[in-house]
Amino acid sequence: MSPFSQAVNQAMRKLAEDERTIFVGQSVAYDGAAIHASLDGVPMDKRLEMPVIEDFQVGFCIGLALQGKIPICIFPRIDFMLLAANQIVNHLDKLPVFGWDAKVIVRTTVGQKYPLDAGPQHTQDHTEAFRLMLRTTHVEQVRRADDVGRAYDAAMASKRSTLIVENPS
Amino acid sequence: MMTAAELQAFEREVADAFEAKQITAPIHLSDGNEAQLIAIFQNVKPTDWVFSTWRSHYHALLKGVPRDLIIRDILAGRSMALHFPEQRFFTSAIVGGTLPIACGVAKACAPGERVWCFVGDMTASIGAFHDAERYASGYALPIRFVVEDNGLSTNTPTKETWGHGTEPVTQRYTYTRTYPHVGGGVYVAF
Repeated sequence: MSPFSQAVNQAMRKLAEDERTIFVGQSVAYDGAAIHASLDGVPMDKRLEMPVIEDFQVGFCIGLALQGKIPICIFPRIDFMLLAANQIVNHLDKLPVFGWDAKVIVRTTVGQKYPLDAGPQHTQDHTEAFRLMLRTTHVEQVRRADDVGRAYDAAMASKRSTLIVENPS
Repeated sequence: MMTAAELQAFEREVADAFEAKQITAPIHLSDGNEAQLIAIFQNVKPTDWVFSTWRSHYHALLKGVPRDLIIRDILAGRSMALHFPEQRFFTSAIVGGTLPIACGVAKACAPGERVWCFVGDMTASIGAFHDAERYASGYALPIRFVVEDNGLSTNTPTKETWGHGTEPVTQRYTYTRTYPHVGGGVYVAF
């Protein structure tokens, strides 16, 4: 496991220590993908495997957040999050505007091109596009292992939602 | 519980304010469904959650949101985005926007609590509704979707947009895969 992956796993374990957190996404409960490995040590009863319905997943997490949970809403690639843009931009980002005290931590990655190039639909970086569309949600891309823990600590401390894009340099 | 006449009077008051240019934002008024809603809301408890749309005045009133709070927000230009956390009342002005949110709330409901999600007939025909209905049914979530069917999507006849045919267009086969999702099943250090 690379230092970056180790830092992510450590951050996930720390998030799991808060009783309000719940990890939601694809491959969170079933092995066979990098996301699953990143949650090693996170109790299974804090993981909620979802169908591949990106927009629904974010909306569902908003609902959990309205009930007092802090969902960690996980997408394997930021490419896929375009399918969730409606819930992220029109609903999650508007919660403070509408007077709701709730937040979601959205976690994703930028697909790497080396040593394997995952191709034009799995290696895009839409971080800036989301940053431009979001007004109340903090958007942060983490490139170094040393920055991972701080980014997730800040997301937990914030009253607002956060989008964290993991993109190891 | 408000009466049909009281509901109608509320919307008339809003319409009058709009026509007097006291509201500088779009309003979406209800009528013709008072009896249906009054019957449904007999079963909605104060601890239940209600999700509505851009046309939400009746739902808010029947949920028990104080009339003066609703009028205040409408006059402030928020008719399309009425939100009252204390009364567990949430709306969205995006078609289908509340569906997954309502499911998430339902997933975390305390015993005895229920979610009511009101949508129009076009919303009930799109993919977001399919997703929400299937998930909610699959996990027996404490939620009730209420389809308010007036046959219209804004001003467009909903059924006309989908066509009237019933031609089968899908074929399915089943199989078992032995390879993993990625790669050949053997670790490779590139």
